[in-house]
Amino acid sequence: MAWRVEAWTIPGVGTFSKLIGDIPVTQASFNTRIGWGQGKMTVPADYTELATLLDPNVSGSLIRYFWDTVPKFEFEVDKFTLKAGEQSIESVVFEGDDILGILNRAVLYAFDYPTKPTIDPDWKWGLSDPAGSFTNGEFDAGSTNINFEDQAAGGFGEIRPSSVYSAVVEDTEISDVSPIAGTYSMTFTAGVGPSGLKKEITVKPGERYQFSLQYKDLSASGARFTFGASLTGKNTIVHHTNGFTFNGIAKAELGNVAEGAGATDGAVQTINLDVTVGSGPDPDDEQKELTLYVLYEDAVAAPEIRIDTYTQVGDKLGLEPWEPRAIRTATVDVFQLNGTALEFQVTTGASSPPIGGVFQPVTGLTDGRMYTFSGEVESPTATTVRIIISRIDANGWLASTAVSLAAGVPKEFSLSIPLTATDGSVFVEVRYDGVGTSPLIKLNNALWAEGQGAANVGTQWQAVLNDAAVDHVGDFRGAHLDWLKFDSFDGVNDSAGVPWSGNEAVTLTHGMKYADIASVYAELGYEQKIVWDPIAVKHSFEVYGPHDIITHVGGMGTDKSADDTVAIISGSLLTEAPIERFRPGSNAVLAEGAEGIWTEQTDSSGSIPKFGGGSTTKATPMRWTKQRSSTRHCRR
Amino acid sequence: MAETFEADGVALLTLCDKVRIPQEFMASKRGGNLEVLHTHGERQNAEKWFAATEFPLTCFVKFTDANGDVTHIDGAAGHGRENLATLKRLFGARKLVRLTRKGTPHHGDNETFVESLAGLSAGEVSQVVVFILRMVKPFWRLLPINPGGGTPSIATLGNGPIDDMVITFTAGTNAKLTVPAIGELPEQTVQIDGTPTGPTTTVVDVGARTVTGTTANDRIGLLTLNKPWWLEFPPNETVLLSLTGGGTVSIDHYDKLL
Repeated sequence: MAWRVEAWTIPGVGTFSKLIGDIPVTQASFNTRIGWGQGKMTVPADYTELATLLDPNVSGSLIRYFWDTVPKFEFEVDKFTLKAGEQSIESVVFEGDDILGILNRAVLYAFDYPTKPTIDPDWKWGLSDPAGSFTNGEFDAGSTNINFEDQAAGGFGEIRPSSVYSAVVEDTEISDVSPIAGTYSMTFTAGVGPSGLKKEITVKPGERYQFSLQYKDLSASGARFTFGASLTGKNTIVHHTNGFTFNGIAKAELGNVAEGAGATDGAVQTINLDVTVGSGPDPDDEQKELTLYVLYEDAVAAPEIRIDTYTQVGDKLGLEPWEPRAIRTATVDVFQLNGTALEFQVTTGASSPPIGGVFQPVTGLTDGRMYTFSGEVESPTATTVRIIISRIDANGWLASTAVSLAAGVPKEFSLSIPLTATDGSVFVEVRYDGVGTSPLIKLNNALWAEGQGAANVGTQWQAVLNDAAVDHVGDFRGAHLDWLKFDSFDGVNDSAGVPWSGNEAVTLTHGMKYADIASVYAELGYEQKIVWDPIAVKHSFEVYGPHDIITHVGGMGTDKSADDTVAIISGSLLTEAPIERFRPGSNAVLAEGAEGIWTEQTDSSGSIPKFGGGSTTKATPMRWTKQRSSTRHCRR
Repeated sequence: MAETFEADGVALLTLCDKVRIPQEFMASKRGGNLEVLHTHGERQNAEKWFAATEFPLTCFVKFTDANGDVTHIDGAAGHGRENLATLKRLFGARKLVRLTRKGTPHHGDNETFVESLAGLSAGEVSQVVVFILRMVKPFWRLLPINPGGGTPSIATLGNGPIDDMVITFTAGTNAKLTVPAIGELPEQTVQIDGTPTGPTTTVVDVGARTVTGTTANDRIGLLTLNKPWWLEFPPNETVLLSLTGGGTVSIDHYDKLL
């Protein structure tokens, strides 16, 4: 086996062809490292083909180092140096970046050029905050049962003093003192006169809701507390048990006794509020806002009261602005909150499948921007759901994707569109994609955000490389990088066939060189190289996921750590290697105080606790730092 | 049979009474072996190449003309100086001088190309001049050239590597000459890519490192090799050759002496 050097034309400049079958090099070197390498070769100054090598833009030259017949390293000549001997110019040195440097000649087109006119020409992966009017994608805003164990108020806040609730609520906090249940309860003191806390949730007109809240007054003062609900608008509320309406608020008393008879007794007391929300005057009004009140009703100084264990049961609770959607003969059988997910079940007909699912209208969007609807769906049995972005005005789909679900396995989805001519409004919809009665499908962590979702590097590279190979009409650059093959990786696996470990959020500015794009991914740990594919007779771009230095999985190298046939034996295979020296880590520190007091701290593990402190010497750090005026580190 | 010398075709016995290479020599090889830790001796590096070498050529200058007569206006001394001047002109050229040995016992005629580093007569009378000659290619090539060799085999003579053959490919597409591994040499291939036309003949001069169609080296880009030394034949062997891609191949070579 032997090394040999050839010169070829620069890929992408005319036909890729050989210029020199063998270059008489007197010295040659190259180095490779992940991302970038450099090559260098020296030829005699009287070499007759020097002109070919010195004219890199027109006829040459890519220098290719062959290991017999296989090119192992290639670099583009971008610099040459004349080396003078004693009497004359004796040699010429050619240098350049390895073939990845040719990616400097390719420039990233605008993301939207010319097929997707948008107002943002950059390539972006990764989402920002919710966009437009989209809201309640997490289904956890004021909708769950609350036990305060997460030390959050769960939406309960003080009522601002008014003519009706004149007292100032004080000392509202999550307390671990004598909790009703678990470790924490919420406590507040209403002040002198009626006042308390409130919390807002969304409900569906015409539906029945059952709320429950526990109270405890440690002082057993006999004070009167109620739990109530009030709707905005003209809807009415119907009580089911023990309720009464006062000042527009449907209320229930402590212990669910008759109106006015409730009184704290020092024990845990429960109020159940069981109501049906009126249907209201507006038939299109699918969601209403309900305010829940935790009220102190007496006109004297209130005792400190504890509340805990809030529960709620009812259809469509906390789902606004999501709506059920059923057309033709379909029905939405279940549309409710389950934990922090929207749960729905639909029944569709056998033929000409009707449509059933859930949707949310999104307004306040900007035409020309890229948007993404993402989220997570789950089903107890295997099924298929369809994710749709459609136009409000024309009922036309802008984009859709089917998501196949395995039983009980949450699956993420992401659907992106560049928004054009929609007056800034769309529907986002999740449908049952089958026939008959669907399983209970859960939707959670939904997000409508600007941009397109984070994607794996294979997907991103494919997108920009495919775009480069397109002749963008009207742009003088035409198609480029068409000499490069990039099918060794895809949106699933890297070039080693290893699945991508995750998605990356990256912004690529249009006009970037492709070499700089490679640098962006290299900084994230990805490894990239261009190799010669002798079968395809083309250069092939390879991308590898980051190498895990612990497991040795990933990267372009092969893990030989468990292969005992591989050995490097000093002196037989290894005859020369750089010896690298590091400043050794200190494991001892000497400190000299201002008054000449010396002290010393050592740590045989090789690390020194900060200021000589650390867990074993906690007693002295203050004195240590105060007295320190000079320190000396050394290794023991 | 006495061995005689010519420099660029000039018979040195017309200038000298006697010419001789006073001591036998052979070029050394360049490249060293590696001394590695924990092993005796060194690791032999098989890939070595012959280094250029030097040898003295001793010339006993005539004090007559070529015929042994004294005809110079300054007499014998004039002939001595004149012959010495001619010798210095021959060897002092700033180019390689073709030095031919004729009538070498056993080998016959052979030649090499030398460059004079110095001429001196240290310790001798001034009529004896020693030229120190550098053999840039440290082989003598046996005369005459062996023309028109080709498939299926070429018989080589001598004892030095043959590295300056001239290969002529005629016609063919991706014509590829293959020399299977022989002796210490691995398989070697020389290919002309494509189907050259105008002319269809491509001349690969291995010694000059040129590939020529109509002008010198204009087809260097069509050359595909598998070894950086292009092609080498071992001495004293029957070298098998095969040609693929059609056309014909014709090889001229000189056998070599160390």
